[in-house]
Amino acid sequence: MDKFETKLYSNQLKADLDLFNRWQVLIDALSTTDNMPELLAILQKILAFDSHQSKMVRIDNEYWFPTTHWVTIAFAKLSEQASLSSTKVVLPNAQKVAELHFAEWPNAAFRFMQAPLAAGGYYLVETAQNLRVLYWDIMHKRFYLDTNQFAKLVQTQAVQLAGLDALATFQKRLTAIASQFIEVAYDIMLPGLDAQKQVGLEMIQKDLSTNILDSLFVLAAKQQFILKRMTGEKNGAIITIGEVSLKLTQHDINDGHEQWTYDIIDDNKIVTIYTLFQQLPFFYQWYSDHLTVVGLKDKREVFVD
Amino acid sequence: MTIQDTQTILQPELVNQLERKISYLRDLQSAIKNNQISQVYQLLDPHKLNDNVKKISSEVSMVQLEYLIADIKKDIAAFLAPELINYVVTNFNFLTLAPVAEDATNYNVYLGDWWDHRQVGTLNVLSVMMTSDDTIFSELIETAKLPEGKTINATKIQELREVITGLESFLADNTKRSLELQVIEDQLSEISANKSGLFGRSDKVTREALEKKQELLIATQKRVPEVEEKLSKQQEDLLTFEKEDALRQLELQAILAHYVDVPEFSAALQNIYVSYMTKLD
Repeated sequence: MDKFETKLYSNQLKADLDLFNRWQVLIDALSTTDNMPELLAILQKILAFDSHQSKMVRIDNEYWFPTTHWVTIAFAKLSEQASLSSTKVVLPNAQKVAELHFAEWPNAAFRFMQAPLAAGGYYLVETAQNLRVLYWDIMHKRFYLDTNQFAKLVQTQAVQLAGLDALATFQKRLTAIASQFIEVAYDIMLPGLDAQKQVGLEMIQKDLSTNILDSLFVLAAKQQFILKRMTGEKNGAIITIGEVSLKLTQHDINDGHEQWTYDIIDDNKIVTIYTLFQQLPFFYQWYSDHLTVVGLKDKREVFVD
Repeated sequence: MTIQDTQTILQPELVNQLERKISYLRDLQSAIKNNQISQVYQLLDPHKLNDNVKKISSEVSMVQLEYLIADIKKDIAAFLAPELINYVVTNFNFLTLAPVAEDATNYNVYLGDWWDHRQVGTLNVLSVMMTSDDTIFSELIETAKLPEGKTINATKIQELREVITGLESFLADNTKRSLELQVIEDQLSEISANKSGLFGRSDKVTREALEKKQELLIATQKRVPEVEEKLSKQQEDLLTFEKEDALRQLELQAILAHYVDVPEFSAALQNIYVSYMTKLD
């Protein structure tokens, strides 16, 4: 408004109030909806909301939350629907970033932070160790697990203390959320998380050297586990842990190289590769020693430090 | 003496010889036909069976005729192998056997079924003899004598770990050295900019000291690729030694689960012909 003009003032104020009215409607809808596609659509609009369109009215107080807050609220709703184990959103004193508390991991807290990517998106991060769990890109419908840091997370004291059942509950929670996302055409990559899909988990690099398998043999033997050469049609190695088998299988591929996979054979379909990382320190040590080769293949390009 | 007379004299002996050969082949055919494994071995080497198992002296006149079957030895071995292999893997259940490529008469014998298990010898199916790797047995005897938790390579491993720690620490200090160099470069630039200052003489001394330190740091930094290479080599050696120890521990555990000591196991392997023939009888 170049000049003071009452009509213009009134019009602009109305436009600003309309804008914030739309904001209020969105927040209200976010709080009331139980419908997942609707929730995601509302969240997209909240994230696209530009308060700077308002020329006259400014909201600047402790309740003007960053976008990560609304991502947290939406994720908490999805998480609550996906598991019988509850999810709570907590706003720590004097902070603007809400934390997520999953009942199965009482000693761990998580928060969302913006990914430093041109495409945008958010990381779900464990707060104590600053370890990433996943990447969620609401605008481009992408939901990916950070396999490296999640494997590290399951070694932390808070998660170790909670035990195997808690780990299984958390994995089921994320798997269930992913199943909902698939219905709205999300691109999903959560390698090793679903206990029903533990075969053919690809390693990052092809052509495993003998030294790497030797090193697994040595570390396993120190813990009284025996790495054996696989017999049958496929080449590879196998470690038996009670009723569960961990196989490292070699697959010939067309380009003359060999793709290696992890296959976890558990008739009860409970054990995942992360269960093994948590329960077998030698296996995780070997995995982290050779991470650039034997790490699980994931969408590494979105995980930027 | 006419040619005919000579023929008449030699004829019975020749007929006898042919008869012995035909009889030998007929006996072998019959033994194979009736699945009489022990009888097959008897025909392959009668002296050995009589001396070792039946403890009776063989007739001196009994001529071995196994050369008659030289061209079908592989087939006979293929016939005999399943029974023998089954016997070995049943009675030495921690051994694994694999046929030698393009040699039906020999099987490689390995200790255990673990990753990169070691070959302890070769088993000949026709002679039921095992050639053993003496080095492996010596190592296992030595390992068995060591106190609990000790290994043959323990000292070498300890030394290598110390070297590796030193090399890793040298590489870890590289960031610190780079920062130090940067500080020295800044200080030298500052001195150069201040060359006409009041403290010219002391600046010169400081500059020389800084330059010496800089040279030393640069020389140290130049060693990084060499140290990285050395570290990689030492890590490989460490893995080799640890793997050797791990293999020996597993082998020893498997043997001692079935035998009092390693020599007893070695003797059992050497005695495999006798134990197998006894079982066949």
